[in-house]
Amino acid sequence: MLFIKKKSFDTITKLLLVFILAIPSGFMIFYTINKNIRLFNRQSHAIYELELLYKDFKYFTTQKGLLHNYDIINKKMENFQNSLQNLKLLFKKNFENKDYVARLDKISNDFLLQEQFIEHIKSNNSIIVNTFDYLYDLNKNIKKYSKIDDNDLNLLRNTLYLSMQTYTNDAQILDKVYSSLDKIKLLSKKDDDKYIRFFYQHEVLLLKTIASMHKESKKVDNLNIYRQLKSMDSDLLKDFSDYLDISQNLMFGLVLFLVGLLITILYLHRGLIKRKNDLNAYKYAIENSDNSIVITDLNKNIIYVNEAFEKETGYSKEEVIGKNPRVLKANLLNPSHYVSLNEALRTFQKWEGEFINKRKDGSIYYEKASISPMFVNGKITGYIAIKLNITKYIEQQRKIKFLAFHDRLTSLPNRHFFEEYFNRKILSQKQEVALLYIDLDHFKNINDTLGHQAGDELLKIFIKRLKNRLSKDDLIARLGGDEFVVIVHTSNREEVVKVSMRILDALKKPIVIQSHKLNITTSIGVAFFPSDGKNLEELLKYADMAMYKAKSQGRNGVQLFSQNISNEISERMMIEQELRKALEHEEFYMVYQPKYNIKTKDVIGFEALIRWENEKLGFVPPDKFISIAEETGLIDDIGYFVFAQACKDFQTLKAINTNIKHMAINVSTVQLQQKSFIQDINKIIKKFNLKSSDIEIEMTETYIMKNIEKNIQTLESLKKYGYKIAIDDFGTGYSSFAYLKQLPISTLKIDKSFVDDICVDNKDKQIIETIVALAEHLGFDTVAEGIETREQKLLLEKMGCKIGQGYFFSKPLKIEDLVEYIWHEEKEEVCV
Amino acid sequence: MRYLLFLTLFLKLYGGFITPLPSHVQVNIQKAILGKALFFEPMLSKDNKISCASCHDVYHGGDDGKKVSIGVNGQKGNINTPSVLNAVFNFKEYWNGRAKTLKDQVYESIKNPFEMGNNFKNIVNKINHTSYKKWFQKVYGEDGVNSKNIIDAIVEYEKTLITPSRFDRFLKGDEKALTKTEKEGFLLFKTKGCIACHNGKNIGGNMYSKYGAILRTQDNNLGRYNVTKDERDKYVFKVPSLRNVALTAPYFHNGSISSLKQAVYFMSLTQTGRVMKEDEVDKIVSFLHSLTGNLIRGVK
Repeated sequence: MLFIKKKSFDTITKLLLVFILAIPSGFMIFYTINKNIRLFNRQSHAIYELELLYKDFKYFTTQKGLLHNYDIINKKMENFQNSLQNLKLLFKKNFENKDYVARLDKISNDFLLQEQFIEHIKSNNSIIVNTFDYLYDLNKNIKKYSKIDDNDLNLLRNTLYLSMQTYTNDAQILDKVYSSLDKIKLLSKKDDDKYIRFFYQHEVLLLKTIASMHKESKKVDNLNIYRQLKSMDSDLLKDFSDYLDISQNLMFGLVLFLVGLLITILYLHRGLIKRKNDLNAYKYAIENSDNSIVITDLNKNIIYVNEAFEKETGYSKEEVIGKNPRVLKANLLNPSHYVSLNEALRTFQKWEGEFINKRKDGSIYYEKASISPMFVNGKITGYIAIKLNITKYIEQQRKIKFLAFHDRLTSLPNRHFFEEYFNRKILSQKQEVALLYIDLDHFKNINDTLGHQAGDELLKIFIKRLKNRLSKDDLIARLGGDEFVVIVHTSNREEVVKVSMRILDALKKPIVIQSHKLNITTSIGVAFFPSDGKNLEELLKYADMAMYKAKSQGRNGVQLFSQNISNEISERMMIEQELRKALEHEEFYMVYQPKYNIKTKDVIGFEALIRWENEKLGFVPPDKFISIAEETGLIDDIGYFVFAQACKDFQTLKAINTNIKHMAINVSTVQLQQKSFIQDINKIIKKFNLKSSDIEIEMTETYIMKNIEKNIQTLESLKKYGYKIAIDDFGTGYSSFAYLKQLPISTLKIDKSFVDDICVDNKDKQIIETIVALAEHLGFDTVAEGIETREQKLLLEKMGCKIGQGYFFSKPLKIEDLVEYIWHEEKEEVCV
Repeated sequence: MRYLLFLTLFLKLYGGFITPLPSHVQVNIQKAILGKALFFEPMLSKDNKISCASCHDVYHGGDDGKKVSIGVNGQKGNINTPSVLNAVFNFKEYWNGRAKTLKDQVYESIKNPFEMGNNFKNIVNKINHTSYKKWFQKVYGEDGVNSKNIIDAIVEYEKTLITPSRFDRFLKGDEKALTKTEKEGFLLFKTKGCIACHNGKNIGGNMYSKYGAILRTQDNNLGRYNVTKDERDKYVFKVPSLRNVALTAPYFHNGSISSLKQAVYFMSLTQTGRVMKEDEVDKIVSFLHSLTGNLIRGVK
C-alpha cells in the first residue's frame, strides 16, 4: 500500500519543489526587472544630463564676447566626460548586445573635438572680451591720448559697433567692417598713431578670431553629438519598453504558471486526500474482509496479510511476512496444479483456482483463490491473492455427491452410483461378474404392519448381516425399497450360488425389532455379465426376472437366469400389459359351471368362472392371468366385474329355475384385503335384488391359510352378512384342522386332482373319503370338482359326497347357452 | 548710445568671475600624511637625490625659483617649474596641459628622464625595503606598496596644498582685507582685460592662451602644439594661476622675466594689446601681492 502512496506523493513533491523554486526565480526576475528599471532610469538620466550639458556647451559657444568664469565650463566638461564614462559602465550592465557602448565611444571621440573647440572658444573668447574691453576703453579715452578728429572717431566707433555684429556672419556687415578697417589702416599709417594702430590690430584679430570661430563651430555642429545623444535616448526608451514588454509577458507567464502549478498541486492534493480516503476505505475493506488477502512483492515474498488470513491460517503477520506463500502448501495437490499458476503469474495474468492448504496447526483446508498481478502506474509491483475458505463448501459438495450416489438410510451406494460403477468399472473393462438381485420377501407386509420405522430398522440389520457375509470386493447397492443388488466378481455359477446361500443364511436367525421376532426371507435372482446381459439394463432386467422367478417358486431361494425364465417372464409381462386394457375393451366374459346334486342330478348352483379372450394373446386361461391381476392390483376391478356380472346373470337364471340355490363366485384374498370389499358386494346383491345367502364366496385353501388370522376376521364378517363361504381346491394346501374348525365356512370343494385319479389311486380315494367324513363331521357341504366320468360320479356318490361339478354334468357355459340348458333341463328330464 | 548701454551692461557682468578658495579640504589624512612623506622622498627619483619637493617648495610659492627646473643628475629642464600650490584646482597640468589630472602629472614627472627619471618597478622595490612597506600596508591594507598607491598618496597630499589669501577674504565680503591700492589694482585687473584669462578659483589655470595673443613675441617653445599638433595651438600655453604669483618668479613658461612689475607690463602689452601706465601696473602688482596665501592648516 505504501508504494502507491509514495508514487503519488512524489508527483506533488516534485510540483511543490518546482513551485518553491519558481518563487525565488520569480523574485529573481522581479528583482532583475526592478534593477533594470533603476538602471534604465540612471542611463536615461545620464543621457539627459549629457544632453543638458551639451546644450550648455552649445550655449557657451554662442555666447561670444562675454566674460566667463571658465571654471564653470571646465567643470561641465569634466562632468560630461565623467557622465560619459559612467554611462559606458552602465551600458556594460544591460543592453550589452546593443551598440550603446560603441556609440558612447564615438561620442567620447567626438567630444574630444568638441573639447578642443571649446578650448579654442575659451581662448578666442578671452581675446574678444579683451579686445572689446580695449576698444571700449579706447573709445572712451582716445581723445585723451590721441589728436583724432571726430570723423575718425566716428569711424572707429562704427567699426566697433559693426564688429560686434559680425557674430551673425552677415556678409554685408563683414564687407562694411573690412572697408572700414581699410580706412583705419590708412588712418593709422597716416598719423602713425599707436592707439589707432592697436585698435586696428585688435579689430583684425577680432574679425579673424570670430571668423575662425564660425568656421570651427560649423565643424563641431557636424559632429551632431546632441543628435547622437537624442537618438540614443529614444533608442534606449524603445529598447527598454521592448524589454518591459518582454518582462511583463514573462512575469505574466510566470504568474500564470505559478497559479496553474498551484491549482495543479491543490487538485493533486485533493485527489491525494481523496485517494488516501479511498485507500483507507480499501485498506479497511481489505483488513476486514472475510476473504484472506495476501500481497506479495515481485519475488512472491509476502508483504501483507489481513486479519482473515491470520485467523484462517493461524499464522500471525510477523510470522509470514517476508516468506513465500508456499509455507501454506499441504502438498496434497498435483504439482501440475501449480504449473498453470506459475505460468499465469509469469505472464502477469490473473489466475483463479483452488488450493489445499495447511494451517499452522497442520489442519487442512480448502481455498478458492484468485491471484492477480498488481499494476501501479503500468508497472507490476507484486501480486495480490484473494482467498476464500471453501472447506465447508467442499465438504458439503462431497456430502451432496455422496448422497447423490448413496442411499440415505443404509449408506449403501444407490442406483445412480451403481449404474456409474457398473458402466465405468465393469462394462468398459469387460469384467466378468454376477449380478445378484435381492428382494426381501413380503417386506411390504412388515412396513404395513409394524410401520416404516421398523422396516427401515430391518433393512439396516439386513444390510449389516449381508455385508458380513460378502467379500470386500463385492459391491452392494440399494436400488430402492427392499431391492438390493450385489455384484460378485466371478463367472462361476457354483460360487455364485454359494454366495447366494450365504445371503439366505444371513436371515436364518430371526430379526428382532420392537420386540417382534421377524422371520424374514429373501429371494435372489442372478444374471451374469456379459454372458446373460450385454448391458446393465439387460442384466438388471434378467436378474430381476430371475428374482421374480425365485419368488414365484416359493421365495427364500436363488434363481439363476435362463432363457426360459426370460420367456416366461416375457409372457407374463405381455399378459400384464394386455390385462390392463382388458376390462375397458370388454374382453372378459363369464361362464358358469353348474353344480349338481350328485344323487338327484338337480342343478343346485353354479360356479362363476371368468374367461378372457384377447386380441393378441387369444384365449388366456385364468390361472395365467389371475395371479398377475392379483399382483398388479387389477384384481379389484376384475373381481368387481366378475361379482357384478355373476350376480346379474344369477338373477336371470334364478328367474328361469327357482330351484337354483346359489352362485359361487371366486374371490382372491387380495380382494378380501380390500376394506370396502364387503360393502361393495352388499351393494351389488342389493342392486340385483339378491340375498347374501344366494352367493357363495369361493377362495382357495392356500390363500386362506397364508394369512389366516386376518382372513378369519374377514370371513367372519362375510358370514355375519350371510354369505356362504367355500374353500376351493381343498386338500392341495396345508390346511390345519385346528383352523378349519374355526373357519366360518359352509362348503369344502375337493380339488380336481384328487377326483381325477379316484378310480385308480386308492390314496386319493382315501383322501376324499377323509375329507367327506371331515366335512360331514364339521357340518360342511362337500363339492367334488372335475367329475368327468360315470365311475367317478358313482364312486363319489357312494362315498357320500353330495354335490358334484364337472364335464360329466356340464362344461362351463356362457349365460345364453346356460339359459337354454336350463330350459331343456326343466322341460325334459335329462339323464346321463 | 546703444552700444554704450551694451558696454555698461557688459561691465556689470564682471562680478563673480573669481571665486574664493575653500578654507578647508576633505582628504584622507592617513593617505595625505603618507603622501607628504613621499612628496619629500628622494628615493622616488632615479638617483635618490630629487624629490617632488626639490622643485616644488611648498613653503615658498610651490616652485623652485629657478628659470627652469633641475632634474636627476643635475639635468636642466626646458621649462619653468609651475607651482604645486593650488594645482589641484587647475583644469590641466603642465604648461601645455598634457596631464589631465594631478595623478597623470605625478606619474609623468616621476618617469620623465628630465625630472625624476625613475620607473615604478624600481620605486616599489626600493620602498618595499624600507619602513614605508608597513606604512603603506597600514594605509592601503593588503595592497601595500604599488604605483597606484604611491601616486594616490602624493595626490592626496597635494590636495591639501591650497593657500587661501587676503583676497579670498575680500571676495567673501571682508572689504578691509584689501588696502585701497590693492582694491584699485583689482579694479584695473578687471577692466584692463586681465580677468578675461585669469578668472575662476585659481585666477587662471582654467584655459589655454597664446603666448603673445595680440602682439607676437619671440619664443622657441611651441607649447600646446607639441600635444595636439594643431596649427592653431602653436605657442599656446595653459594660463597659469596668479595665486602666490609674488613668490614664483621668474615668470612665464620660459622664466624669462624675473620682476613681477615687468611681467605685468609685458602681459598687458602682448596679451591685452595695450600700453599701461606705470601707476596702473604698480596698483595691479600691489593687488597681485594680496594673492599670496598660506597653506591651510592640517597637513604641513
